[in-house]
Amino acid sequence: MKNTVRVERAIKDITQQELAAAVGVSRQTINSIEAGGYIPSGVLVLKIARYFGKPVEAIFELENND
Amino acid sequence: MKARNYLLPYTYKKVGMWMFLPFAALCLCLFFNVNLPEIRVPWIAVGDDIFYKGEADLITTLGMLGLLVSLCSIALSREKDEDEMTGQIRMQSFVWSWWFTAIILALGILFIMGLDFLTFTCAAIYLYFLVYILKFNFTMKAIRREGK
Repeated sequence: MKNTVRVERAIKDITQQELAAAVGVSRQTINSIEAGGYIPSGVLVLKIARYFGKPVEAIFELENND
Repeated sequence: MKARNYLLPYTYKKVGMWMFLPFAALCLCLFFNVNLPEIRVPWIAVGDDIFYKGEADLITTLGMLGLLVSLCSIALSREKDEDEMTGQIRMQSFVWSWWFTAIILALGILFIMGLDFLTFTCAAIYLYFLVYILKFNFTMKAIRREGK
């Protein structure tokens, strides 16, 4: 699953730590999501999308092998 | 359905780590047959006669029980920054250590005979905990280093 969390974060000019605190996870989790090493749960995906005020599909996108 | 979390608070991990050192040292002494003073106390045991009055060696019993409690405290406590990714790493480490321990046990069953096998099974009780703790903490350390 691809995502544009890093881009959205840059647009909003916030750090990984700030995003992590806003959605209730650790900074390492945000880092792993951005790097594509961790696929977040449905709840976390919704929280991130709500934080950025965008629909889920605008931030997270399924890949062919998903 | 809300997932239940059966983990202990983070403080237990610290307590477990402090407890681990003396109890592990004591169990190693027992494992390598180092001469330790024997303190025999009356105990309720389970055997052919269910719940008979027997005797227990206090040092052996306390050593093994203490090691088990300390390993449980380390393995089953929350991390400071526990979240859903930690939960997933925890689950992967559980499965990984399950397989690893099963392979070691299979090798022991195949190649260790006689009284040595008894010693091996005693040590194997703790193997799963140790492998899990090592695997989980190394993975967490690698992720934390990656994120710096």
